[in-house]
Amino acid sequence: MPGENLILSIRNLNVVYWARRGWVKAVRNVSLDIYRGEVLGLVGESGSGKTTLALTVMKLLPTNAKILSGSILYYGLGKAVDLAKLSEKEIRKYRWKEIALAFQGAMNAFNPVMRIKDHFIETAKAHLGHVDEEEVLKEARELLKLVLLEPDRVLRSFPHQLSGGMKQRTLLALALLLRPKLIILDEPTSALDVVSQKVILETLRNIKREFSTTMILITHDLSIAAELTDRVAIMYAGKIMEVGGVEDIFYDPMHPYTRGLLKAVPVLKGTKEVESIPGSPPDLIDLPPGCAFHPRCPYAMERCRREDPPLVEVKPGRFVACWLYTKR
Amino acid sequence: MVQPLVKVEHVAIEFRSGRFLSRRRVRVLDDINVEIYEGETFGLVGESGSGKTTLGKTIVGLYRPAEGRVLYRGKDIWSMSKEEFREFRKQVQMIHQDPYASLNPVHTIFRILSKPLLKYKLATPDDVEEKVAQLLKRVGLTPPEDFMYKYPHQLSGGQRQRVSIARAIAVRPKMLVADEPVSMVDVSLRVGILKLLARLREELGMSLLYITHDLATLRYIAKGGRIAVMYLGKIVEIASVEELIEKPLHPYTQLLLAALPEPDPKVTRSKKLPKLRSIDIPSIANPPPGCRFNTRCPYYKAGLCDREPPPMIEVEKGHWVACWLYAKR
Repeated sequence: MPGENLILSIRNLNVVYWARRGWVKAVRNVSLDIYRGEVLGLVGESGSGKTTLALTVMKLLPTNAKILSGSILYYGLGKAVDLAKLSEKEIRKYRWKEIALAFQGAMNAFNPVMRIKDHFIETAKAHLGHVDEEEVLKEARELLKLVLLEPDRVLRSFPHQLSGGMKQRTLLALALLLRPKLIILDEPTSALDVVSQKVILETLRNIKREFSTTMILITHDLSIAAELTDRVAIMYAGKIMEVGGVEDIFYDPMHPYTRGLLKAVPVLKGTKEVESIPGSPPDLIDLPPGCAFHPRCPYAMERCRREDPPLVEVKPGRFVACWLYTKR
Repeated sequence: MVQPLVKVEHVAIEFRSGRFLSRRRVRVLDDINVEIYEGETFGLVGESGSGKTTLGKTIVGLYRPAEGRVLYRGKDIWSMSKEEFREFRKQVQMIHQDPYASLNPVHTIFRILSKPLLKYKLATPDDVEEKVAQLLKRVGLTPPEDFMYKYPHQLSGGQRQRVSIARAIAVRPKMLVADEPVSMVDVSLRVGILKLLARLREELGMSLLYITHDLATLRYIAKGGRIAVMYLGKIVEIASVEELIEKPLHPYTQLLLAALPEPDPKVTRSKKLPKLRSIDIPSIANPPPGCRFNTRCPYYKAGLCDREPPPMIEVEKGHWVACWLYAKR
C-alpha cells in the first residue's frame, strides 16, 4: 500500500510517438513515486524522455503520441485517481488546480494582447467559475511579491513589456494562483541569464517553504538539480537509471551513466578531471538490445547486451537499473 | 613588443532598430578594446545581450564598426584590398552555436567539406576525397567512410558540431572564433568537443576566441589564457582565467561567479547572491548613463557611477577593470 505521504505514483508507464521511421520509444517502463512537499529532479539529456513523462502526467501529449500501458496514480484528493485513464474533460479538473505545469520558454505561454492582470483573472475564471476580480488581484499581488516583482507595474503590463526573467517569474506566480498541490517545472530557467536563474531557484525554494508545494523539476543541467532538489531521478533513453537523495546522487553515484554525467561537467574550482561519455545517445526508434546504455558503458558485461536490467531498490530509497548491482 | 594577431580599437557597433518613423540606432558595442595574440586562447564571457556574439562577428569581419578599427596583423580590415580581405576571411574562421543551422541540409558531409578545400585550392579533384577523409579523422569522426556520404540530419548534435569544426579548419586558419559551440550538444558529449578544440589549437598553432556565458567551461578550455567579461555592450574586466576566477574585481564579474550554479549540492546552496539594486538587466536600447552596471551594482555611488563611465585601468599586471571602486577621478 502506498504510504500516507505519496502524492503521485507512476507505475510501469510506456509512451511512444509515431514518427515516419517508426515508433519512438520515449518513455520505457517508468515507475516513480513522488512524495508530498518534496522537490524531485528529473534529470536527463535531450531525448531521455523527461519532458514526455511530464506531458503524460498532464495529458498534454501531442496527437501522434500514445500511452501504451501503465498508470499514473494521483493521491492529492485523498483517494487514488489514475490520471492515465481520465478523459480530456475529466483531466481539466486537475490541470492548474491540482497540478500545474510551467513550460520551458515562458515567453510563449502568455497571450500577447492581454495584460498580465487579465491573465490572472482569466485563469481564475476558467477553473473556478465566477470569481471576485478584486480578490484574485489581491492574491496575484501577494504572489508577484513572492517572486520578487513589483506587483502593480507587472499587472498593468503586456507580456512584451517584461524581460524574459520577469515573464518566467510571472508565470510561476500565475501557476501558483490556484494553489496546486503539485507543480511540474520543465527547464524553468533555460534561456535566462544566470542572475535571473539564481533568483528563480531561490524563489522556488521560498514557495516550497511557504506552501509546501510538491515540485517536479525537469532539467538537463545537473547544477540546477543540485541547487534545488531533495531527490533526483536520472533518465536515459526513456528509462529511469537511478533514483536517490540529492547528496547520494552527487556524492556517491552508482549507475555508470550517472557517474559519467557527473564527470562530464566542468566546475569553477578544484582540479576535477572532466571527461565525456564515449559514443552517442541511442536512436529511440531502434534501441540496442539489453541495457540501452551498454554501448557507452565502461563496465558492460555479456548480460548487459542481452537483458535490460530492472530498476531495483538496492538500499532504502536508492534505486538503480544496472546489472552491476542486481544479482538476480 | 609582439604585434597582436587581432587588435580591436575603440570599436562601436550600431544596429538600426524600430520601424520607419521611429527608426533609430542602437549601440550594441561601445568603445571595445581587445588584443588577441597568436596561438592564444581568449575567452569572451557575458550573458545574452552583452554583445559577445556581436564582437565575435565583428572580429571575423561580418559587421562593420560605426567607430574604431579592427586590425588584423596591424592592418585595418575595412581598408584592405579585395584580395587581402578574402585572405583575412580565410584566416579567421568562425563556428556557430547551432551546427544544424550552419550546415546545408541537402549537401552531404563530403560536399560540405570539399567546397572550401577546392575553393582555396587546398585540394585537387583527384585528392579531395583523401583530404576530406583526413579532416574527418582529425575531428574524431572515424572511420571517415561512415560519415562522408551522410547528410547533416543523420548525425548527432555532437557529430554535426565536429563537421563544422572540420570545415573551419579545412582552410588552415590562424584564428578560430567559437561562439557557444557546445550549448546545443548533449552534456555527456560537450567535453569531447572542448578537448578537440584545445587540441586543434595546439596542433595548428591557431588562436582560439571562445565565446560563452559559462565561466566553468571557459576555465576548462581557456586554461592559461585570458578572459574578457562583457556587460551591456562594454568590456568590464580582462584578466588571466585563473586570476579572474580567483580574484574577480568588477562587481559584475563577482555577481556572475556568485550566481553560477555548480554541480555540487553543498557548494551551490552555500552561494548567495549579493544584494542587488535591481535583478533585471536594462535594455541595450536604453543603456543607463555612466557605468552601465550602476542600476544593479551593490556598490553603487550616486553622482559618480550614474554620471561618468569608469575608465579601464590596469590594477595589477595584465588585470584590467572598468569600475570606479578602483579608479581615481
